[in-house]
Amino acid sequence: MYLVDCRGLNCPEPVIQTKKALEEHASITTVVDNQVARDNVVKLVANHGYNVSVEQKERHYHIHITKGESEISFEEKLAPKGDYVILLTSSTFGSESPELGEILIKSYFYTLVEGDQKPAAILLANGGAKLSCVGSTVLDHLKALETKGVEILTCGTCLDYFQLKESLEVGTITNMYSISDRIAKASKVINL
Amino acid sequence: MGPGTLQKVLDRLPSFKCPSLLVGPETGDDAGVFKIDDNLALVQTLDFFTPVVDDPYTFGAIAAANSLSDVYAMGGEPLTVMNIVGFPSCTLPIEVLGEILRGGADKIKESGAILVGGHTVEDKEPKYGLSVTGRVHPERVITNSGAQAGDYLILTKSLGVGIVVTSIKGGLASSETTQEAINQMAFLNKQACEVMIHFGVKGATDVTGFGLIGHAVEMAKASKVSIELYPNKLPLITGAIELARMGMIPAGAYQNREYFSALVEGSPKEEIMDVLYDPQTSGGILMAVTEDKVEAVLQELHQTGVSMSTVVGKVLPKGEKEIYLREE
Repeated sequence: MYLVDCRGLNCPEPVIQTKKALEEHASITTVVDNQVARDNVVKLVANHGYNVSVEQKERHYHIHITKGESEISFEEKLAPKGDYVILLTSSTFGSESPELGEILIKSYFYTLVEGDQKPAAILLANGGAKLSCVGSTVLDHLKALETKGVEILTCGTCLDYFQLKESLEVGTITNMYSISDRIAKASKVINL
Repeated sequence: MGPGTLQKVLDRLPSFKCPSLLVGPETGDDAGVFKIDDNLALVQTLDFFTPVVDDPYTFGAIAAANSLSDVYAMGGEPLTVMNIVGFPSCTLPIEVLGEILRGGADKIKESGAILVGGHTVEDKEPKYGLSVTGRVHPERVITNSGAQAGDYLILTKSLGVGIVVTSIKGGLASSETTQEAINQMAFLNKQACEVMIHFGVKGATDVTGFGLIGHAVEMAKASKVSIELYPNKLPLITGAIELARMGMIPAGAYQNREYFSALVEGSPKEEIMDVLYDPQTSGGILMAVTEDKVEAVLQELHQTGVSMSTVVGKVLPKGEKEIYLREE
């Protein structure tokens, strides 16, 4: 795997370097540090019909590209693997008993980590935003899911509201545009 | 600067109220308009930016055309201009500055305005633009709040400038595409303005940093209407769509999309979306024309050399969203 390190570079440089590397190598990984570069590189390779997957490591995006035929559309390529997303608008599993809800949410995420059918993304909004922050009882599970390729996206407005912006421990901050986009593009949305 | 970031700062400024201020900052219009007497109002604007092309003369011409455009968008006639210049005199030969200013001066001459002065500062990279003062009859000011339901929207230049400029930097734009974008950026909106005045157009704006959608949103908000844009009828710079597919999307397009997308309904193809949000340098005029005049306005625009002019949408009564993207 040939590595194209584009950290610290702004567009169009990451696209140009990726394009050049693909002229000589069949399989490369481009590393970028901003979303604009990520989306533009994915556009480039999707247009060529190459296989692409995006992995997020801390503040960097690792874009794995392999030449070869693929029939997947650009939108599907931008969405990570898996075809359903989980939307959590509360920090508990059910609302009848908060205490029980907390036990159940822990158990649910444990099952999710161990199971085969992982979602593409977990969207955390309203009270759900607390789950990805300091003090959450499911942090380890969420981290485990993230390392297995599940995107953990927490609503920025919600973090602001609960004054938790500095306390985010796992995944990335997102906005309503991305949340609605993810919901629209998922084959299934599970609202817990 | 992105539209969201800028608005947060502007919201904290005190507002200036004065009966003579016909157009102030609140409506996000292209220029300020201040009434002197019943027959005369001043149109004032300022704009400058870093080079979009390598050739200094061409950059000067584009920057000047871009600055003058804000006066034209208000239906005004540019009278006097001043140069605003940032220049790294230690790292670039002074001849470069001479070429930038010469490109600007030629464009100012073409507009009929007079260069009366300017100001230059040391800067890490070149920056150039103009402060422009123009005049307009107080009752014939064209604003972005003048669009009415039923009007058709005509755009006078092709879209995709930001995508092409990004591609030029990356060495991916063909020479034809590059030349088409340059010609268009350096083209004055003077004729478009004269056609608007001739036909008594009330609502217009020029399409610049916020992209077609962003400026249409501002027009919709200011005019208290909704706007329908036809994604299948957009005038495009040759090759812009292919470059968009290659990922030559400027960061500004993503900022525009993030800021405005909540106000937009409809989802054309990804590359068309990229074009709709693409920031334009020295873009065309987006004018709202009553249905009975559309044909005549288009004909006169084409005859006076504004050849890319085309109908890109329609003004609707105020709906839930500001912008509806629907194929015509």
